[in-house]
Amino acid sequence: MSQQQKDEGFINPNPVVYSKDESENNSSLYNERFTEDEETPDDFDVYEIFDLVRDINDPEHPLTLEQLNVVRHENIKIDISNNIIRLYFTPTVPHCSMANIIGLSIKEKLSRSLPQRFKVDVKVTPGSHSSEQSVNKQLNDKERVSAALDSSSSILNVSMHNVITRMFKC
Amino acid sequence: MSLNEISVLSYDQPSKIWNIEWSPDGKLLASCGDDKTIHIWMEESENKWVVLQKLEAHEKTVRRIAWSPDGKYLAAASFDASTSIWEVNNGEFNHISTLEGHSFEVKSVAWDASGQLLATCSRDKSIWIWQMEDDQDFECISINNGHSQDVKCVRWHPSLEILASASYDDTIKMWQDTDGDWECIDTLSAHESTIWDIQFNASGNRLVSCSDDRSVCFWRLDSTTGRWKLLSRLESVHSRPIFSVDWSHNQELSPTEQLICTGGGDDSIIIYHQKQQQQQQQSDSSSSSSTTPNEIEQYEILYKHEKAHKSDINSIRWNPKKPNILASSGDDSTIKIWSFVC
Repeated sequence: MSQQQKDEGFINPNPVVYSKDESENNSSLYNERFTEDEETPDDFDVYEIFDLVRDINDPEHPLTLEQLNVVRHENIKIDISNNIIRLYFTPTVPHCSMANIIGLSIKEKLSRSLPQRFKVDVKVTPGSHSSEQSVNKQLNDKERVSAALDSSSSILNVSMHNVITRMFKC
Repeated sequence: MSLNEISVLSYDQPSKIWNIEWSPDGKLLASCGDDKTIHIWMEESENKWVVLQKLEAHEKTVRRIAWSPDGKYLAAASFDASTSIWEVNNGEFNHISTLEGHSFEVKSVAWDASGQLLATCSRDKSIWIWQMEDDQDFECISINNGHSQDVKCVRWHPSLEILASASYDDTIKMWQDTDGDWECIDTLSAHESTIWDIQFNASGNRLVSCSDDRSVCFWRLDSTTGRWKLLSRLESVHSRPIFSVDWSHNQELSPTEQLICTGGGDDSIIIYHQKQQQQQQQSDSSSSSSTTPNEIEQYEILYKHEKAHKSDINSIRWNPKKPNILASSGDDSTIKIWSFVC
């Protein structure tokens, strides 16, 4: 947690924590399920996509996106014939100012993990955020996303404040 | 009709190739991307392209490049908030200047027809106009604020000192020097999302724009008012955002034979042309439109090539000298040269 967050207080001080779903699948094998060969279609499902993003940490709390129910199996859509993956995430509160960062983290993780032919769309679950349209537009602006990630090895390792400045401040 | 791949130019390292631009004589191709370099490509022998020089001056992604009209200079806009200027001497590129001033990423750069003015635009929402002095010094002569969001692209009119800019705020603006001050003289609204690229036709009385909303718009200059009117909007031509558009300016072709091409996030290339008058009359005979058929100017898709690249197409450009030759670049680290056969 950064000093700035301490000073300003939490956006959502008491998030509801959900238990991890251990029964569905294990998370260790997804790499093996994707073929190295770009030409061969992979046979995979929403659980594998979920495995890629479930352990991303929330920017405010020492909790994962799965524990906060920000990412859910039912909000992942795969169009295998067109190589499109669409993931809707649900911010914990409708005015969450961290929505951009959460979305960017998910987008980066999926883009880096999946074969290049996949198109990844990350959007806010309809109705779950007060600035839904604006957040979606920023997250799906390829140029802004590239600029935010430029010269950093991974958004998951850099300070959230820096990323906000780099991507969204105008 | 077919679009034939005649050459593939591959980067040594994985890179998003953001932009390609032909030199004015059509012999060299410059490319730039997130590897922070500019590649200058030359056709060594027929359909065999080699890297003539690799230019390095930026700390971050090089987003767009622009040749001066005489081909003696190359400008490069970077996410490191600067624009580099390169001079070409006997086929060798030398870094002669760096333009600084924008507070965030520079997204586009363009030379005017005289080669004296340069425009840059940025995520800081501003457009800067620079003048090249005799000693190759660049002086900023105007800073234009008018867009409410980042400015994605700037293009000069092919003969007049009119600058067009396209933005994340879903509009295109036209800028002109009126009594010493650059002012916005027109705002074009028809797109529903970010406009990624724009291009004038050769005579400068038409403009084409492409957008994140997956549509392509054609605009006409009303010579009496000096304002731009929407001629036609082709919706959902691509299934993903359209990142690049170009209008051919080939001197061997008549104005109505000039073709338009787009490339986008669906990995496809689409080629458009102006509908022939006769076809229009047939299709319009049943409608009760008050405009006479010969006043209606329509554009249509001529050809679509799917899976032209393995990933998003970021840039597509007609060769300025060879009719129906075009180049495209993508996130798949390749540039492809195509021949379009009607």
